[in-house]
Amino acid sequence: MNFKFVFLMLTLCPAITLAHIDLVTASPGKDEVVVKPIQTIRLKLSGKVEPKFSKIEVIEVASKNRMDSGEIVIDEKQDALSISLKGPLKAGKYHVKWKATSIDAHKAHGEYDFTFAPKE
Amino acid sequence: MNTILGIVHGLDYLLCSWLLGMFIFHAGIASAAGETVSSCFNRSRKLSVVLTSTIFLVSLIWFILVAVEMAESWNSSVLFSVATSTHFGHIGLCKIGLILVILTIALIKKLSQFWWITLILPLCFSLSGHASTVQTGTAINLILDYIHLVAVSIWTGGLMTLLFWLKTRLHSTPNSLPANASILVVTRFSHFAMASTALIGVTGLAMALRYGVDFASLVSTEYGKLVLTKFGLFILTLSVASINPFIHMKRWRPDREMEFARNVARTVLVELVMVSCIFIVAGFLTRLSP
Repeated sequence: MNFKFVFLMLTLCPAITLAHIDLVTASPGKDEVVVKPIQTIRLKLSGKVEPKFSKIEVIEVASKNRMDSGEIVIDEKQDALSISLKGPLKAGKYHVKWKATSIDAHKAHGEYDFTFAPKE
Repeated sequence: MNTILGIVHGLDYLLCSWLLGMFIFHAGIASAAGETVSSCFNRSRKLSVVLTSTIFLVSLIWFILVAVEMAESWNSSVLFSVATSTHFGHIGLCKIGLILVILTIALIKKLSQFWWITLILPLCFSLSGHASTVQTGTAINLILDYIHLVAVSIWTGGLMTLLFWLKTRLHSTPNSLPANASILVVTRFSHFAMASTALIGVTGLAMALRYGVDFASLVSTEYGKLVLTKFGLFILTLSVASINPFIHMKRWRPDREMEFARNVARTVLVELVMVSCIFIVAGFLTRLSP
C-alpha cells in the first residue's frame, strides 16, 4: 500500500470509526462472577448518550423477574449509564439487556450475563 | 428504515451543500467575470427560493424520521419529547429555524447582504453529527468537521452553480459579459475547487487519525464495501475534474469561448452526477454499522 493510497483511504474513512457508539466497559462485566453484594449496574459507552432513550434491564434468569429499578442515571460526562437494583440480589445468574441512543441519534444495544455468587 | 434514512440524509446533506456552495460562488467566484454580487444573487433568486424550500421539506422529513427511529413510535407526545429534550432535537429545530430565516431572506431579496448566514448550516450538521458524540477534544472535532463540510459545499455547490452559470453563458447575448468571461470564472472556480479538495483531504485525514481507522472492515462488511464504492467514485470524480485544467483550459482561445463553455459544462455535469452519488453513499455510511 503506497502513501497516496493510504492518504486517500484515510480521507474517506472517518465515518467508519465515527459511526456508532459501543459499550466500553460494564460493571459487573460479561460472564463476571460477583462475590460482593452490588446495588447498581454501570455501563461505560464510547460516546455521549441520551438518557431518555437509553435503557438497562436486569433480569434474574431463574425467575425471569426484572431486578432493576427502571430509572437510568447518567454521569456528568454523559457517557456512562447506571441503574440501581430493586433490592439485594439472590445468588444466581443474571441477564443484562441494554440499549443506548447517542446524542447524534444512533443506536447501540447488547446483552450479557453475570453471576452473583456471594461468599458465605 | 435505514435505507430511507440513508437516502434522506444524503439528500439533505447534498442540498444544503449546494445552497451554501451556490452562495459562495455568487459572492466570490462569479465576480471574476465582472458581474456584481447583487446581480448574481438576483439572477438566481428563484433557484435559491426553490432550493431552500426543498431543503426545508427534506430536513423536516429527516427530522421526523430520526425522531420516530429514536422514539420507536409515531406517538406525538414521544416525538415532541425527542424534539424538546434531546441534543438531536434541539439542533434539528435550530436547523429548521435557520432554513426558514434563509428562505425569508431570499424572498425579501436580501441574499446579497445576508447570504453568510448560510455558513451556520454546516455547523448544524457538525453539532448533530458524530463529531459531537465523542468525549475527548470535542471542540477540535467540531472545527475539523465544520471545515470539512464547508469545503465540500464549496466544491459540490460550486460545481452545480458553475453548470448553471455556463448554461446561462451559452444562451446569453455575446455582449452581456466580457468575451473571456468563461475562462475567468472557470479559472477562479478551479482555484477554489483545488483549495477545497485539499481541505477535504487534510481535515478528513486529521479526523481519521484522531479516531483510528479500521481497514479490516473495508472488505468484510456491507459498510466497508460502501466505503470502497465511495472511494472509487471519488477517484473517478477527481479524474474527470482534472479534464478541465489539463485539457479544456489549455485549449481556450478567444474565438472558441462558446465551445470551451460547452465542453466544461459537459465535464462539470459528469462530475456533479458522481459527487451526488458520493453523497448518497455517504448518507448510507452514516446510518450503517461498521
